[in-house]
Amino acid sequence: MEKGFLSIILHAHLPFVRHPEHPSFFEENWLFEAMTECYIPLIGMLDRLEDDHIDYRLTLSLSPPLISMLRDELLQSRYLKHLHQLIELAEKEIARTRKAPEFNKLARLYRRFYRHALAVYQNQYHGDLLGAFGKHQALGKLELITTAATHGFLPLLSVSEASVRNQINIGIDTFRTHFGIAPKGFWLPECGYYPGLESFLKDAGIAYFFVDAHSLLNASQPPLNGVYAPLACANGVAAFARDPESSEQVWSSKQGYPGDFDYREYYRDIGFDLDLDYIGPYILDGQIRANTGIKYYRVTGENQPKAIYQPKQARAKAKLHARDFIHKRQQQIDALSGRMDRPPHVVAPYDAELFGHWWFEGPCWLEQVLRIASEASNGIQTISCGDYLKQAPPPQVATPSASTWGAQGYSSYWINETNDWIYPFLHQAGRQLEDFVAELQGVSVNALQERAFNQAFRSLLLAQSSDWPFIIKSGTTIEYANKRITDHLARFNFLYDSLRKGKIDERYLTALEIMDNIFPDIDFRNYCASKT
Amino acid sequence: MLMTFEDAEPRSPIELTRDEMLAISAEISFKFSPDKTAPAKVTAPPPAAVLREQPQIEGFSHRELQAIGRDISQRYAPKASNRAPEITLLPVDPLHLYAYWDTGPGQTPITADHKPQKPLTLRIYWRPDATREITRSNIWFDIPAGRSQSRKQIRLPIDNTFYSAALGKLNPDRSLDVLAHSNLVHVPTAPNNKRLAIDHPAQQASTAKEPAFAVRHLQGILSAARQEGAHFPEDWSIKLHPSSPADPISDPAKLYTELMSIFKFNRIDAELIPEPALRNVLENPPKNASGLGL
Repeated sequence: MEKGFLSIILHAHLPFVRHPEHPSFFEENWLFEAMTECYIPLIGMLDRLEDDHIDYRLTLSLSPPLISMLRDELLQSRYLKHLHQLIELAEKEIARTRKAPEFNKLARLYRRFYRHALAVYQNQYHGDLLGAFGKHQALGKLELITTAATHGFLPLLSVSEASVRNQINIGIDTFRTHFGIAPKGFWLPECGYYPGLESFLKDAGIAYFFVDAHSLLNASQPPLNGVYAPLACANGVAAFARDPESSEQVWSSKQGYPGDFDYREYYRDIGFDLDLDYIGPYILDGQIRANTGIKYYRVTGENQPKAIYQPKQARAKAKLHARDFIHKRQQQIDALSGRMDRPPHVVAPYDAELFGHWWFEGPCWLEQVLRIASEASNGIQTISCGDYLKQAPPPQVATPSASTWGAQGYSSYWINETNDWIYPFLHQAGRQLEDFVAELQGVSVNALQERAFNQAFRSLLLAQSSDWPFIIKSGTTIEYANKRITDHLARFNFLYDSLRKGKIDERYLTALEIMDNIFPDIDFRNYCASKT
Repeated sequence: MLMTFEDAEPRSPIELTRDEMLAISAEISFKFSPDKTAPAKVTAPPPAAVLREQPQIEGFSHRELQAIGRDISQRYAPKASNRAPEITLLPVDPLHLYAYWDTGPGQTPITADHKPQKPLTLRIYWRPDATREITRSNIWFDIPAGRSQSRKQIRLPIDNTFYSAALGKLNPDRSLDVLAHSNLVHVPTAPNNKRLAIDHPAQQASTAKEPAFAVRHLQGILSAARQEGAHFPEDWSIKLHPSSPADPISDPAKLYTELMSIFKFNRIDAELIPEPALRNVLENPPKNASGLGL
């Protein structure tokens, strides 16, 4: 008899960074880095667990922009080029470090790592990483779910039902198109919830979603089991809350595992350390320094020179941390069991890109966690939230409180003095489209108009991504985020104006369809005030 | 010396379609799939054609696509509409909401006869009963909208409740010439420490609603309470959170005293919890301060 349950959820998302208008584009590297360092290592982990007959459950949320990019032929071919460049750089590094054995050993490790990624991507899965995830879902070990169409931050889009409904429905439709099944669960972008959102989820066939801990703790009724059992909203959709303790152990910048001194240091990359003449071909425009992925140092500790990375030591630490994680879950479950009328359920969601990209040893840690949890003596059973609901419906009905998993727990990261200018434009564009669609009820449009309407709809959805206000607030690639929002809104304005004037430039429209080719099956008629 | 892909690309005389590339890739995969347990062996560089992108994408060159994108961005950059006046509220957190507004065409700060217009004002209504229309018994507070602004974050007096707003011009008698009404928004419950006792979930007791008051903008509420009597649900208790000493409150201690007496009169359990910044002001009042036991 299991004493308690553990659900680990990885949320994989990147904004739609596809730029066919350029022969190469720096931000596309966000995708390529995540593929090399995170998604392919995670698939390797799933394969090994399957080969070893490990009994585990894991949930993976794949966002529609990520799904679309992983299936995009242009990006697939560019990724191959990227991987070959990395292999070439690793080979150059092997030659450069031949008189420094410790560095040379690491350079060889990177070459092996990139060659393995290429072999998995090209030879084993034929460029289809979604197929790899789908395979593990079909095996019953991995539960795949999805999120909003362009990861729109729903609490700040809620002035328009059409915006929220379409973000949810198009996200689910995209998932269904690529995986052939409907998801049971839904990842709310940034865990952004507001009371009433569950009605759109229910209409879309969703059984559960995730919120941060304070959302359940401040629910309309005090949760009898804290965050260790889901609540059912009045319409039956279940809300699972993030466990603060298991979150802190991984996320915390101070106490979290990824900050351990033995782990690889993310912020020391040869893209910043080596001469420009040498590293130029592998960074931005040959001049602007950027991460290459090759990093030789470990975290080491504060106020001392960075020491060289020791992979074996780091892997051993990851195993130790995995055991510690399970041990703490056991303690937590033991402490809770006596006070609950059901086995405690610990929900631990993380950004997928933390594993491998930011925290190089993350996939190793996760694999060990799943292996250790599968040992019968632990009293812990990993479970997906979909399976949990089959076993035990939520014991209590209540409405969670509005919340996010961002700083301060609410919406202030996505609306503040740095990015508040976005929302009047987003809402205005949404209102214009909604009004236009309402005017067209019972009116037929020709094929060209239909294309223009659908493209305007795509532009609006792309502008709604939560990534742009997030980037602007975090101060990382502000210029790019500003440009993306204003470009998408301008494209919307252009198409709206063209449709209103009845003069559609097909050449321009075709160019926009090439550049923003997400959601090919979209139907603008769905952008209406009430559901049809 | 290693051959770079930049070197390799222009030399290749071979051009392959995507289908051909996929077929070659599939054939290589079929014949040479690595054993997962062995280190991957990918030694040969790929055919240059695999790495070369077609110069035309569905009939467009990169430059043509860029030019079209640039042209649209320049000509259709987002700009504020200047249509009917409007105001929109967005909830931020338990004690803040965001307002943005548009006064519409013709709302210039100075009239033709050079007389200044009435001040543009946001009137924020507390709507504890969200289903009812705004009435004279609704309490509210005013925020200067500012002529040069069109959006603002607003500190709220009460969490876990509804608000709406009106954009208008304030008359000397405090009445408002309304230009537009906002949407209705709900702000969530402020975190309550008692309910954060997650290690002891069974001990969590049902607690009375404890709306937190921030005194920053309470002068308007006080005015309304004086004139029309504030309406509070019977089972509510209230915590006052005086905010910054830089508040435009000339005599905060007096204001709090009067508010506390109103709450007492309405049989509301009120508690004053000064935030650190104001504690010093309250603990060291000016000599003429009165009330609050000072």
